[in-house]
Amino acid sequence: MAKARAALQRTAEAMPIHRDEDMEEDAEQTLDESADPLEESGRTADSDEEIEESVAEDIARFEESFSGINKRYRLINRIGEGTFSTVYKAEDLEYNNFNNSWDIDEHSNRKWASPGQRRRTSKRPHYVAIKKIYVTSSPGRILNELDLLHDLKNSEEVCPLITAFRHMDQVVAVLPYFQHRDFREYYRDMRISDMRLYFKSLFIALKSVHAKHILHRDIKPTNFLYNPEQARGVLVDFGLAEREGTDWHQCDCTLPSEERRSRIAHSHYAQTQQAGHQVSAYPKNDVRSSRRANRAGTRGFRAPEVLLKCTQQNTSIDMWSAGVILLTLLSRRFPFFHSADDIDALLEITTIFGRKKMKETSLLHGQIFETNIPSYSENGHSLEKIILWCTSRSGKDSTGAKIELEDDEKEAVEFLYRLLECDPTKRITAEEALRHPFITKAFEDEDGTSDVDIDFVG
Amino acid sequence: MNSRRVPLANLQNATNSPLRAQTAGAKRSRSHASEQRDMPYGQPPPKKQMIAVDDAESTRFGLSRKSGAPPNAFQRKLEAVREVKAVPKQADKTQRTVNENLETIRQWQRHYRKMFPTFVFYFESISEDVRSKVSRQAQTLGAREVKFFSREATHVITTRPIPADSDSTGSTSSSHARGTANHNQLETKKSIFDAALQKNNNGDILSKAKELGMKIWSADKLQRMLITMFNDTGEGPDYGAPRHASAAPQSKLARQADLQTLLQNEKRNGPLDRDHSVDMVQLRGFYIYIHDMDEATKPVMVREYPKVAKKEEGKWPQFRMSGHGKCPFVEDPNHIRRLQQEQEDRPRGMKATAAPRTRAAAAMEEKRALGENNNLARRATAPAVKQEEGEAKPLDPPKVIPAKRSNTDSMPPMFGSAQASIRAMPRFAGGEPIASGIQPSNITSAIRSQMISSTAAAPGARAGHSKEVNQLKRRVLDKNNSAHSANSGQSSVMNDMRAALNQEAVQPARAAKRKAQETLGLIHEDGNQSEEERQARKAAAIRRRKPSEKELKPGYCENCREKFNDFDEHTVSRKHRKFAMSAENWQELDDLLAQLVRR
Repeated sequence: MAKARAALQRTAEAMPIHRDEDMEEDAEQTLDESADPLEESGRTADSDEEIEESVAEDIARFEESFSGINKRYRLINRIGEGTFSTVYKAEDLEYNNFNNSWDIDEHSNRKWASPGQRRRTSKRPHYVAIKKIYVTSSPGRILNELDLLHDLKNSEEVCPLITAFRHMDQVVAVLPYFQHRDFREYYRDMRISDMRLYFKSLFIALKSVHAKHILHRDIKPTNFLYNPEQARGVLVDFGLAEREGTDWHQCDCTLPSEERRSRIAHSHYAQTQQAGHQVSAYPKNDVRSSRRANRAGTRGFRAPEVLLKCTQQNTSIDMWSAGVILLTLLSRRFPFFHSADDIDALLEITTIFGRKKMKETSLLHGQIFETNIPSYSENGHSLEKIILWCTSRSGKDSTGAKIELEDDEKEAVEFLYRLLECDPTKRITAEEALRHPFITKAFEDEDGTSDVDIDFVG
Repeated sequence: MNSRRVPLANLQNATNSPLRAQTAGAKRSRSHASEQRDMPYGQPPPKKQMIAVDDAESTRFGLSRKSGAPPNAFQRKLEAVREVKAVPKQADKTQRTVNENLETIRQWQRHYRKMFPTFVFYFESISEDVRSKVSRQAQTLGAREVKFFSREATHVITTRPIPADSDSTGSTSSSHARGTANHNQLETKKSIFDAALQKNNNGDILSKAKELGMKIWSADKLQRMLITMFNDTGEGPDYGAPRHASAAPQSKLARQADLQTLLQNEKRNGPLDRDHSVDMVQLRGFYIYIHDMDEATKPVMVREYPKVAKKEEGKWPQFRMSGHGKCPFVEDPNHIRRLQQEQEDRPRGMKATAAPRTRAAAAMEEKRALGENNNLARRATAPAVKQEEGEAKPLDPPKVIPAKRSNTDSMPPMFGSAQASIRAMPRFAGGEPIASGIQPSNITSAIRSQMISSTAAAPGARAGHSKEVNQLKRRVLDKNNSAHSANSGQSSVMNDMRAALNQEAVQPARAAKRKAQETLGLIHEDGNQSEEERQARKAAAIRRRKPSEKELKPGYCENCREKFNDFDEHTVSRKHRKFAMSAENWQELDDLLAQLVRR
């Protein structure tokens, strides 16, 4: 055993360490990466919750550095921390001086809640979320985020921007404080009917964002604040969002398939293949330029085309990320993908979809996918099988029959296939998703179960 | 002869005069005599050195050849042989002869060093490897290569016999004729080019080249010239002529020359012992390689993993044994240990199996592999488990092995993969099972989130990088708060349940509580949960009251474009403050903020 290990070690040492990116790209990469979904707080805090000393100090420092902020807002607690910002819960001290059309809670309290449920009157304190954007962010990045939010101000299920202001290098955005629960509290308990509602809300948000040709780029549970009780969520954090078409360069995936096929047939690779297969090898000192593409997002939620550095990414990358959330819910595994880096991420996707699909997917973007790793089968696994396995149902039931997914789960899986479609041009759009039976049934469910009037049906 | 040849004629009796050489029967003028035409018009006429040129060549080659005729194969061979030997041979002669010869070669070299930058080569009927080598050498001398035949070319290099039609008139007349043609070209270059292309010269490039007045050289000739150009005559930039003129012992001089030649050769040809496998890194292990189909850009992904006996031991991402709710790609040692424990318990009593269909029992089944598509997975009865242990089915996740090597230190080092440092690491923190009641959501500090963000950039692959340090720091953090795991965010009940499932035998103290929950059928009420959860969270908050106060927050500042070790320190630095205070940096943003004023 020890000997074998030593031998293994030698092999490992003999092989060169490959660095898949340049060192100078590091800084950029750090900025590409949104915070890990697991490490972010994802739940609204109650005001009576006790505050940590360090948080209190942090708040004090913030108030001190930003003169005048405590006249307008009373900072209560720190509720979230990301790569680019910290979010605080605060009481809005000047609420009554302004137009508060953004306040859906106030709105829905009147409109949605039955009189008995109404807990708070208009006398209640009004809360906001204050997003302190780190001073190390460039004005350009901040401008981008605020500009997009400004554009999206009237979009459904998108967190509206109340206001934003600057003091020296410190920029602050004020957003509504939205009651929601941490995804980790409910992801293992969601019923299919709950998922319909969750995704209905998410796709309404995405539809309105995509209608403006904006890519969110960072769809993940922590950026979709969801309140299961109200079956309502808001999409937040447009820090990585961009307009469709930004820095686009021709990628083969947008060509008509005929033309793409011809490009592939005449590619350098096709010619060397004809000349006789060579052993896979890559240049040691590669002087060619790197393929550059925006890969901002969160590990585990990046679409294949993002991982493959497609240079014409569009809004469908958000739909893939939504698919990852659905896979998480159906398999009851969070996070589903570990994706320590982009290579791992693509290989994890390969684990599911198999080599053949990944080869095709890579070719869409003009790239050759080669692997001899034995764990990846040609055709991969079906999502049904993976979900059964993840939920310990891959055996047989007491009658000896193979356990199958429930009917509504099957429907969910069918929908999941449309989201986790590796070809971005075939992936379902948010608008189409809202017409998919999996989602339209959410309306029916609501019809049947909810005890309030629904004015948008009929 | 055209006017350019005048200086030459003025010096007919000079030692190196071509006329003199001609009388010696050593004229080799076709190409070089006509070389003049290759000079772009408008350039000053060549200087006197060029006189030496033809002579230098002819002297060296000592060949009698009918002027203008292309060398035949034998002559070429002979020349090649002589050329190689030429210098050493002459070095055997008296020092005077050596110096003389060197001087002529130097003059020749000087001349062509000036000429080469004006040359534009088009290669024709030449094998690719020769072409690339020759082209590279020519380019180091300032010449250019055109990939497609056009009038831009000044020289066509071919391995085919060069058509002799115009050459048969003799070098003098031919250069006259072409000289005229060139003058015409000067005025109507394009039309002549077109005309040449339209002419029915069998469509042959060489004929066209001739029409256009381009030089046609044999590949051999160019190669010979290049060799001579690179020959050590003291003309090179690295060493001076005087050394050769010195009375140094022959052997030393020769050795020096050898070494210099060697270095020179390496400089233009690359190392002699080089073969192509050195340039390319062959993928010999298990690998993933994603590259551009036209090889225009660097590969998007390439990573190699060491060969392993069983694929389950491979460090690449694959489905692994993990508990409920956890990432299926990350191995969970606690889960495996628990399963092992159950397997051991099984034969002794029916304690474990006596448990009803709880999650524990369900989890038991999960240890079975995810079979390939349409592959029936077997039922997890006790005998089946036994059998599987020894058998290692194709797609089985690791079973006993992982628990044994859960000490990461003993793992074979992994290269190019972030997994070594990340996969399965936090969950084993402190060697302790995951405890209940820890809710880390509100204590996430900037340092943690930033470090975690950075893990995605393959920290494992970069040694000595600050990310690596972050990674280490993070591990320390994880060790300190041993209760944290990437997945510890569930409610206390959930955690208790998981702890119960994971630590059946290890934590008897929990048994009572667990029993109680099991009797509840492991169903928890929402209200129940949140109450308990809140308490647990408070307890956790108290436990964590003393955070290590001065935590450095490393990061990157987009505005100063630099990395920093501590956020607080950086943001008060002079550079950063300067940026913050400059109004022009904020103009555009302020314009937008003006629209966002609360109304």
